[in-house]
Amino acid sequence: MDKEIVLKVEDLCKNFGPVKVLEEVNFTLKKGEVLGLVGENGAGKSTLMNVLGGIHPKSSGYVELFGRQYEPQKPEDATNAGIAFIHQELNLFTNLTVAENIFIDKGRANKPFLSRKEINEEASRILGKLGLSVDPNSKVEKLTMGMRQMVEIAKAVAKDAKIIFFDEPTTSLSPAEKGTLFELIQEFSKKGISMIYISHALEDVVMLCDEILVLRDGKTIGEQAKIDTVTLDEIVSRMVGRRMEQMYPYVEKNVGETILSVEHICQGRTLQDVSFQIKKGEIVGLFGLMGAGRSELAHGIFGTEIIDSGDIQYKGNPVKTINPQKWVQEGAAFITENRRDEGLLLKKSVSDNLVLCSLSQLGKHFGVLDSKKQIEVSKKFVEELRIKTDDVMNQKVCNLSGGNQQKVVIGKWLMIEPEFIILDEPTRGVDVGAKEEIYHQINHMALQGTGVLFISSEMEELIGVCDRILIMHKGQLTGELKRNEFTQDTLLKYAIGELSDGEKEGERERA
Amino acid sequence: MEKRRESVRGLKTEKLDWFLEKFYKYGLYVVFICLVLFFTSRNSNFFSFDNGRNLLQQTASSGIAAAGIVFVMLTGGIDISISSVMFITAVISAVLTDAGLGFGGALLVSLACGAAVGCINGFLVAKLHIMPLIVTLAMQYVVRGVAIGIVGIQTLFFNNEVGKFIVKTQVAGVLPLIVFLLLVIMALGQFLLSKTWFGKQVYAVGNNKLGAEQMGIKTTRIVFLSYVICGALAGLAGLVSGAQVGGISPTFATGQEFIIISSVVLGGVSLFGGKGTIFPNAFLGVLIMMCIENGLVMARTNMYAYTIVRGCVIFVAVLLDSIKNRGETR
Repeated sequence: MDKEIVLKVEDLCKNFGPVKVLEEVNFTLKKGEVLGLVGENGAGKSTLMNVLGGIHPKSSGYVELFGRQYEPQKPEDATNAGIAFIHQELNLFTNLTVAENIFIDKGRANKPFLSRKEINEEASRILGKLGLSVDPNSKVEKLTMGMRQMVEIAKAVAKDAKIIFFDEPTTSLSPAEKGTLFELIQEFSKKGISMIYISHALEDVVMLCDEILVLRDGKTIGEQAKIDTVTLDEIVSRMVGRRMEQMYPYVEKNVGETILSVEHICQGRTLQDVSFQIKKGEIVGLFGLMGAGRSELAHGIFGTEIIDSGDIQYKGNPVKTINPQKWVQEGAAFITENRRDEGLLLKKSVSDNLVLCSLSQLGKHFGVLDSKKQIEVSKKFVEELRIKTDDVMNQKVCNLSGGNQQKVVIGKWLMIEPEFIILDEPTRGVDVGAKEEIYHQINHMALQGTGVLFISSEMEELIGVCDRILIMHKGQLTGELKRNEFTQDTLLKYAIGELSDGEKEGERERA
Repeated sequence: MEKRRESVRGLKTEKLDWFLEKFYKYGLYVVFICLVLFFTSRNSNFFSFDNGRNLLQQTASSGIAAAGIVFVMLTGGIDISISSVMFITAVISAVLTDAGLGFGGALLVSLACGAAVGCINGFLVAKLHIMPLIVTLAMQYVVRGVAIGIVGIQTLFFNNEVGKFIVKTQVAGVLPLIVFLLLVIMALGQFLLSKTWFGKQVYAVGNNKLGAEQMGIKTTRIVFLSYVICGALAGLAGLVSGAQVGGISPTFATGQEFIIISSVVLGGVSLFGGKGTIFPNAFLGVLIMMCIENGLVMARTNMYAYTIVRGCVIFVAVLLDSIKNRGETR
């Protein structure tokens, strides 16, 4: 009665150095089934995919594929074993045609020459089987995102894949394209192809999948379950867990007048009519799932990306030209998500990085740096932020740990004593100890009257630190919660678009 | 999502993109014809069979080297050591043919010698992941130094029998041998690019190297081979150019690398990798560049005007290339 098991994963572990990314992951995938894999950002879903795809080797555990032990060393091993991956970032070559993309890695059975006619015919056959009307001879750069995804799927079919992994396949698709994709998935399932479907869109997962598996902090939470035996609420509570550690030091602050007011910011489809205010000494969280538009909003406000329309008022005055230099002059700061590329001079010393934003205050005569003063202030900040470094003046930032690098970035901006600061994922990739110190610094800033916009994917830290949390979903602000309204369930429901502010009242009544 | 954002923002630039696409498809022919008309109006001899053949002869050596560098540029790399490769193969073939080596031998030696330099470039870039610009800049100095070490600081004359054979021979009575060589090389190169999986993988690597690796394409090998091909063809170009010029001074072919690279970019081969062809793109680029120079000579323009015009052309070519590649979703 039971269907044949094609993939069995037992006690799979993966460490990156001392960090455990996957811990004892267990699941089975049966023939022709769709297994939904859900979890918060950073729960280990992508790592799991990479381990099974031969990109990273596993640390320990046992994987069985079609009844045989499976230990992929490189991506080809996964392909040869019949596993295909449809990544969120598509692996297509936009300068080649559809047919060339489908067969590029095959080398056509040791034939060095390609016959355009032959590959076009074969590609047409495959595309036709999928019910797609794409010209195999058209360049991929001319196709829409949805079509490109279909080409990626055609590649999997051409390789005769028995198992297909989908990683967030719907984020860039229009509703119609999504419909086509779902029909295909059901079609595949009938043909006996097994699939693992990773997505934040829980409604889709519930609709499509036969079974569901929840990952949290690299561990499987609860048993793998048939989809009709669990409710959406249960899934959400498994994803977020019920733990709340006491590492979040919330302090009462004196909230002053409005320092920043943002009205009707629009940018294409990524930001749709976003308005909010931040007051002096207030920590405002901004939550949303990947692709909700949080970072884009921050970049839009700070002028590192251009917005289509919208008004910004700072300290009561309208901001006419939005650009980063102006903001810094006005005493505002932006700590980007991408600290290695945007926030640090990796090959320079800790001190050189720390003083970067406050160089003008360190000048002596004719713009020459006062190096004594530089050493003095650097040492002070290193101590205050507890940055672990042996030599402030000479140790290069690239030799520091991730947490300490992040502290250097924060220290750099603290030196200008900002009145308003945007922090984008300040604790990503940072160990617990450093996180705590970062929270302390944020509180410290707020106590001195700085308005803070704190962007994060980790609900716990937002709930622990913020006075107010704004939630975004698909470019819109769907909710705003006060401190006494914070619960992980509500946050997540707003973030996946299940709730929006209009329905909040109803939710309260039920609760 | 990327795509959507682009489409919203791209509205204003849609027309420009349309123009650029058409320009690279047909516009270069138009530019070429305009140039011919313009220079003919200045000197009626410009549009003549003899001058046409002359122009193709002048194009031969840069055209052969250009065919090679297209491979490297398609992978997203660059090779500025080609001028020194041209120098060293010109020197070696001049010396060896003086000692009695025939044309066939000289052909093989120059290809092999260029390929050897290409191997070193390819190893350093593909295997050790050093920046192509730095690797080939270093090689440019090293190779020229080695060649000067062989012959000393003197002008070497390449006017033996083989040299004369290369310059004077006409295939079928009308087609100069070196033009024949150019056409064969270009046809072979273009065949390799558009009709073999190797060629398609060269395009793939230049478009999305990480993706190519993840799909199991042997990117190291592809990149390595591109540099070898580029070196070999630069070697051949050196033989042709040496025989044409006759006197090989220590500064022989200096600066050629930038003229060749910019001609190729002018023709529509992208500096960012993944885009362009040998025929028609690289061929047209080299031809237009040579046409400008030839026309200016025939119009008796001041010699210094060449560099100014050339500089402007390079600027426009690279500007168009950058605009073409802006905000592209790959």
